[in-house]
Amino acid sequence: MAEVLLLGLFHEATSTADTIDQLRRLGLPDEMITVMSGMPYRPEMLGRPRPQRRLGRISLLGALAGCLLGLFLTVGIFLLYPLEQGGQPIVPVPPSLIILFEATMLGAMVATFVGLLLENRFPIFKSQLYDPRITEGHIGVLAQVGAALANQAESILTANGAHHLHRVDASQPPDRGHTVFWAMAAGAVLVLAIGVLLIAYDIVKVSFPTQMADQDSTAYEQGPRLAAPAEAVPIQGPVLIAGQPATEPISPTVNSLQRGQVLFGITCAVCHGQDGTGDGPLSGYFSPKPANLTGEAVQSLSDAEIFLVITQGRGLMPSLAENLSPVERWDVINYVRSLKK
Amino acid sequence: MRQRHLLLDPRRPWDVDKDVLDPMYRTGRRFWMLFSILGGLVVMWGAIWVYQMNWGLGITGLNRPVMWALYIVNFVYFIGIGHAGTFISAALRVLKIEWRRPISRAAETLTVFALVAAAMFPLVHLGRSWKFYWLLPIPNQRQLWPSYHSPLLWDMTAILTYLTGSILFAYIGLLPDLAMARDHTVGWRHRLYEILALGWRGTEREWANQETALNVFSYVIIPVMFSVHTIVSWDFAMALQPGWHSSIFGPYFIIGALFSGVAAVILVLALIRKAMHLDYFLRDEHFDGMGKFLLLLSFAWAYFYFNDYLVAWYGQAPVDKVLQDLFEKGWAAPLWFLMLFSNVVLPWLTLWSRRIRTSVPALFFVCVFVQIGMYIERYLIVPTTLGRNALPFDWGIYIPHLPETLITVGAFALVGFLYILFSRIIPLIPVWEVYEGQVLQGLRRIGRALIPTRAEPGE
Amino acid sequence: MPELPERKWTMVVDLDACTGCSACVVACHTENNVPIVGEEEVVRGRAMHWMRIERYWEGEWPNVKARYMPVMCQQCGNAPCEPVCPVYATLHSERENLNLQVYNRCVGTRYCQNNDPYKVRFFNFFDPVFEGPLKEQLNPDVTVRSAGVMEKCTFCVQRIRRGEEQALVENRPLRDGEVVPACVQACPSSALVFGDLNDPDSQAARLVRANQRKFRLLEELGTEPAVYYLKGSESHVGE
Repeated sequence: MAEVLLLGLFHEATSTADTIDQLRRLGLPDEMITVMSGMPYRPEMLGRPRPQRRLGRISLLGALAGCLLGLFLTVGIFLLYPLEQGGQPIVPVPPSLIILFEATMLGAMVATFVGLLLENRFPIFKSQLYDPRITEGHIGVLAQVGAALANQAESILTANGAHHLHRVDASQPPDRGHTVFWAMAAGAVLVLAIGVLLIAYDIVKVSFPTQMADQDSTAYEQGPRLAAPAEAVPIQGPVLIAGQPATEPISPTVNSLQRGQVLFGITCAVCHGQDGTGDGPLSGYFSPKPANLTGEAVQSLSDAEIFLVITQGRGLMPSLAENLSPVERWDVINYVRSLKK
Repeated sequence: MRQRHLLLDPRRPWDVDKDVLDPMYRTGRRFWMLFSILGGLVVMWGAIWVYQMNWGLGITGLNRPVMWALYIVNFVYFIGIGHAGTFISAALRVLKIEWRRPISRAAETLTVFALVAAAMFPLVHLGRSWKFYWLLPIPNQRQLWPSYHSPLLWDMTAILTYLTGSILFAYIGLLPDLAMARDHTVGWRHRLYEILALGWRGTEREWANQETALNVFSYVIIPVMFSVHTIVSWDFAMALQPGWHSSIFGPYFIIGALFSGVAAVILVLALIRKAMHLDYFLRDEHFDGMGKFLLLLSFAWAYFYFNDYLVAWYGQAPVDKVLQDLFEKGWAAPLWFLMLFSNVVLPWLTLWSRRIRTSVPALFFVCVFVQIGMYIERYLIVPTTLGRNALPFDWGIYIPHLPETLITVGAFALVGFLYILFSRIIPLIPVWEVYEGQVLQGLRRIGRALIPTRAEPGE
Repeated sequence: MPELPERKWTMVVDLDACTGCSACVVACHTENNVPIVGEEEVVRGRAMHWMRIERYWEGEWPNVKARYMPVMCQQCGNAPCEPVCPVYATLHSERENLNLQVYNRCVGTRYCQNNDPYKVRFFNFFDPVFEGPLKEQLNPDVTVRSAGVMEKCTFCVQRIRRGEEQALVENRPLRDGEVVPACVQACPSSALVFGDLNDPDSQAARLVRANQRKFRLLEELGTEPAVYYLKGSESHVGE
């Protein structure tokens, strides 16, 4: 059935009321007539029935929902995590009442707003018949009539002084955009809530960088010390001061080099090889392989450092302090120095 | 008669709409200069906050025992400012006081922005601001929820409720005017208002729901408003700190908030009336009414302050006495006397006179002093009182340092910035409420006089 | 996990024996990784001494008298600092009657310090700096706190835990004097005594029981502190 939408604008309330009366007598039910205005007119002023008001009930529902949320936030959380604070009971009544109040009010307000939008079918995406002059103080009467009565309705409007008459032959399709909007809004809220819970309950593990996880106080405990810290003075064992040889070094005389070679062959060649290149008989069992003593990496170390390595060991290399006395260690060091390519 | 009362002075609706919409287009050199200055201060605010998060709160003047200082003062101050807007829109609406009609939106906007500025301060003052989400009512790291034993959590809940409520309340009241703006603009403004107006047409159902929604909000947001500043006062009253542990803090803070808030609204109204040429809307009767209200609030504030003072003075408990001596004879004395002058002496000397109340420059002057006085009051309550406690070895003095002073300036700039930005986007006068008032009010001849009469809008 | 017995950890400070030497202050710093804030910060009022010697001068020169007492966290039974923490960073341990501070949960609202009548809580205004070899001295049992976190005396809870675990492992009750906080250990005049009040034979319980000299600091506030002071003849404070 073809539908016609008629919109007529009136200057003031009396002619509007007359028009509505006549339209009603023409056979138009009240739901087919819509009055639009720039300020609220009481229904009695225009002879209209009072519109249904469901918003109040929605607000009450919201208040109830808020109250339940408040109960969860207070009594629920306190019972879930009974942590004692300051001699107060696990479920303290006055603070719970405060939160209950606030949550109830929040629920009422948010529900009223959302209810307002839903009741008004906001946001409206489809195009509607409207005239901007309505916000200039005119009153608009929108009549939805069947094609048969359209002309009579139009003449009623003009007879009562309607100016700026619109006539549109159209049917009102449902507002798809509106449904999509609310579905997306609900979806977004749900995704947000689920996302928060997933992260909070460690189902999705997010590593939070936190300053206090890396502690200076425990750092040194993580793995054996490779060298004494600078300026540290240990109270037991050989005095090893970083940057200085622990005991008096022995100058690389011929005797020292000879002794060093012999000691090297006994103690070091097994892993580091006869010529110190790191290919001794046992070298295949180590990963990483024993160091190449002739290369730059070892030769660039200071004597004291090499002394420390022999004394304490390093990595897979054990300490040779029991095998070599300090004097003997210096002999070996002098010999190793002579191996430099 | 017509000149004195806006609602008896109806004009063509198109002219009224233009009067409200035209200033929104006026973005001349002065506007952009103000915009850049305020915007720059807001950026500075952000930068100093980041600097503080990096280096620690040590850059401020905080010490032991004064662990709360300028940030908390600002927090309380801005929440206080945010009270008047709601009071004017909601409470005056409930009481059916008609002169609230043109001022309600400007006041509500101030409320929302003051609350936004206030809500930033609990984050700025945290030692580890980046962990602020542990204060939200979600199960955060290790499934631990926050503790509702703490007044700070009551604060978060109350402010969240109040901020949400204020924004929604303002938006609902704004809908018909957004439709009006949509109908009378073109280009990007038209698109913006079209989206924001949600398709408002002004049908009977929409107006009926509007009325219900505004009624629900008005009745609900008034107790929320009272509860918010009471809960803020409980941040102090729950502490054992002498000078704070007083049961009068709840109502005392509410009155203080309304006092400073109403004065702030008057300042803002005076400014926008001048800057946006809204003389048609904001008339003597509005400033007169607000001035009377301000005087009433000054009486109430003095009453509560005297109550608090008298109890401590009479009891002469040693720590209370130390605090009172600090205020009356110590280094805080000039501040204390300035506060009493600004909050009590000046309003009581001036606001009884109708001539002063309707003279906008004079009222402006009084309101600026009220702001100073109320800021000092919060300053005396927070850092100054914290410097004294039961163990004299642990007394201290707080000296504001540059970072927190600049952040304070930045917060004021934030409110101003948001306000002037939005003054160009949303109509600051609720035109539909003015229409409604003008239609419902009229003049009636009784005997020889013309008497303004008013129809009840909501029966 | 076997049930650990209920304890009522108590510190007894004999003000007659206290000489004000501050060895306890230093020992606490060392044991608990308390940072040295430096002279400038102390002048600004940000000294961080979990255990401090409160000192009051009385009289005019030359008849000046010093009254002093060591003050540390009183580990209150009804601690006013606990319920005001919005994130549960400060809690009460029912079993041990200790006031716990959880460093990694603290967001730094500093409400606990405002509500603390003894002002024994300390805020890390800056990141603590332990230069060079001072890092070697840090106690691995105690967290090094970052900026923005509150800290306070814990009655050396790490030593308490270690003692109780040791006793549990060895299947024997904890002996009196086995758990000794750093300050108690360092005190040269044995003015500090630490023990479990639930154990009637412990030295602390015997000192507190029916002692005419005993008093607690700011008792009238109802905080139920776990620290008992024994009045000295001339040198006490807080009469």
